[in-house]
Amino acid sequence: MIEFIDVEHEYRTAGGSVPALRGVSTTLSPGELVTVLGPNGSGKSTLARLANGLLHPSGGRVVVDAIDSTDAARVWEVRSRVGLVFQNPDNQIVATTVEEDVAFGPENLGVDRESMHERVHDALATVGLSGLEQREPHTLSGGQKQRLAIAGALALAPAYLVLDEPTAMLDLQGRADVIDVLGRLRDAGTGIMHITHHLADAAAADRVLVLVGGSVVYDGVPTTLFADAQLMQQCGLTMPPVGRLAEELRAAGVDVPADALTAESVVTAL
Amino acid sequence: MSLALSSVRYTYAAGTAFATDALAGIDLAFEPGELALVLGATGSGKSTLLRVAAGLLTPLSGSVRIDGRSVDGPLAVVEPGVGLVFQSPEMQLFAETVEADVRFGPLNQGLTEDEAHHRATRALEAVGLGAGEFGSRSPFTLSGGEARRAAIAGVLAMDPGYLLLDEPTAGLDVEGREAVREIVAASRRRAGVVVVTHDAEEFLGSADRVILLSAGRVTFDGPADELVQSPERFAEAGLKAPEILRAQILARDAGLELTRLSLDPADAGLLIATARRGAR
Ligand SMILES: Nc1ncnc2c1ncn2[C@@H]1O[C@H](COP(=O)(O)OP(=O)(O)O)[C@@H](O)[C@H]1O
Ligand SMILES: Nc1ncnc2c1ncn2[C@@H]1O[C@H](COP(=O)(O)OP(=O)(O)O)[C@@H](O)[C@H]1O
Ligand SMILES: [Mg+2]
Ligand SMILES: [Mg+2]
Repeated sequence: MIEFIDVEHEYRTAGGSVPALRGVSTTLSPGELVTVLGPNGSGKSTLARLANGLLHPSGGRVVVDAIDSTDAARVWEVRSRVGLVFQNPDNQIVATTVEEDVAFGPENLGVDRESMHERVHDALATVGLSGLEQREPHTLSGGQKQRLAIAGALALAPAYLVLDEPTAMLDLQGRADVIDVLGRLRDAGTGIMHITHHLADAAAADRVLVLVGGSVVYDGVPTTLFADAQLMQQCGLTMPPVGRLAEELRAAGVDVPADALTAESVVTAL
Repeated sequence: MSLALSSVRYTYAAGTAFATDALAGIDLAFEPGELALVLGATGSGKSTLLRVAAGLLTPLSGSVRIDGRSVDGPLAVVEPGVGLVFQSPEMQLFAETVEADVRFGPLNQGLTEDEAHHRATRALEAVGLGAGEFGSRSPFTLSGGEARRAAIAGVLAMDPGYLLLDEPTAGLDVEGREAVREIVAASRRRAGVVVVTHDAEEFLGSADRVILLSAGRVTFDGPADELVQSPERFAEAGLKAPEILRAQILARDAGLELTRLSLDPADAGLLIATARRGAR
């Protein structure tokens, strides 16, 4: 389990310090899919970077499977348990071909050649980049780079996967595919933290964590959040059009559940 | 008067083993005052299309003409030219202050300091970043949504006749997306606006025209409502239709007789409720 215990984080800048997280306590368990929502600047990326020890909290503790993230002797253990997909995929590119880029992580973990090839192949197939193995990563389109970043994290097969807005540049089908992959990984026992601006992504989650101004304003099941208009507003969230269609149908007496944010779930209720 | 692409082809790494045909014969004309959406799957050539239209890439064959003039080389300095806001443009904010960043484009166009300052002030107001409050801030202290708006202001300050935006709402929160929609609505009065986006639902309601791109070709070019009423066009272009349309398509598949499809939740709700009464 990843435990965030009363976590505070401040960035030091020339102009003073910027508080990014204020007293955040939450957890991520193996086999759990947690969606993180919140406005720009609410601390989501900071939370992600704290999860794998890339940043250390200015107050409180982050503990990964009983290892304190600040334990200098075990930093690589923390990093290898918690895979991180960055918000900007350009920050993640390390190699000169797509294939090498995906292999980079597992290679560092000492994975042998045989299983390496398989891992890289599988990861690229999962994200739909097969055929582009020899391309230079910087020549990929924005969405393709995002898929590459996800493949890199998948190839590591980490116990926990933290993804920072991994679908911002993907089309609807690409987004649905990623959500699918995350669901399968969750079912296979990976603990997943998915940061997103798309409310609909949260419908598939076990839990939703909402940050506003560095504080947790909601941590619970999606349905309770979606059904509470006042809380939604407090969280700076709005229903996507299909959710508003569901509301219209509810008002007309159709029994549509609060977490119906896909066409399928709305129509099933009809 | 238009920004016209005729038989445009573009191939990356032409003549090498990695040659990628990104645009495979594009004929499109964008008109002033028009809001056109470009939708397409990842890798379909959307960003390449905008880069070619803005003169940043030279087509392998075919031509790009702006208001009848043939174009070679970057258009950024031509007036009224074509302004392109890149994907993730906030990565390109570089100056010490927001105002200096926005002033850079007009200065580059040869305007005087005074004129450039005036343009920058106006552009910052237009994106809702008051020059007084934000002008003197360092770009690096802006939130994600503010930085995106500052980057758009940098292009607006050059007063382009055609404004091209590459995925302008990606990664923005509710408030930021709303702000970008307002900028787009306001800009189309002064310029032709082309928006590449995956957030079709955010823009379809206000677009004059939608273009679907698939593997470097245009597979649909018509009014937004025509596309809404024939949503199979999305699938043809390898795209998933917006969720609210898919709900109505599935309802139809399940036997409900919807007279038409709608992007508006209240309207769609009414259509479904009416069809259900009819079915009983
Ligand atoms: N490297 C940094 N230096 C200074 N302030 C930062 C830095 N990174 C983030 N911040 C600030 O911390 C806050 C939270 O940022 P972040 O975690 O990136 O939010 P989110 O991912 O939710 O948009 C914001 O106010 C942001 O401006
Ligand atoms: N610099 C480049 N070198 C080689 N191929 C490229 C380069 N830039 C883009 N491509 C390829 O061209 C195609 C279209 O890319 P792009 O226009 O960025 O797509 P989109 O914006 O629709 O996602 C993709 O297959 C992409 O991999
Ligand atoms: Mg972030
Ligand atoms: Mg693109």
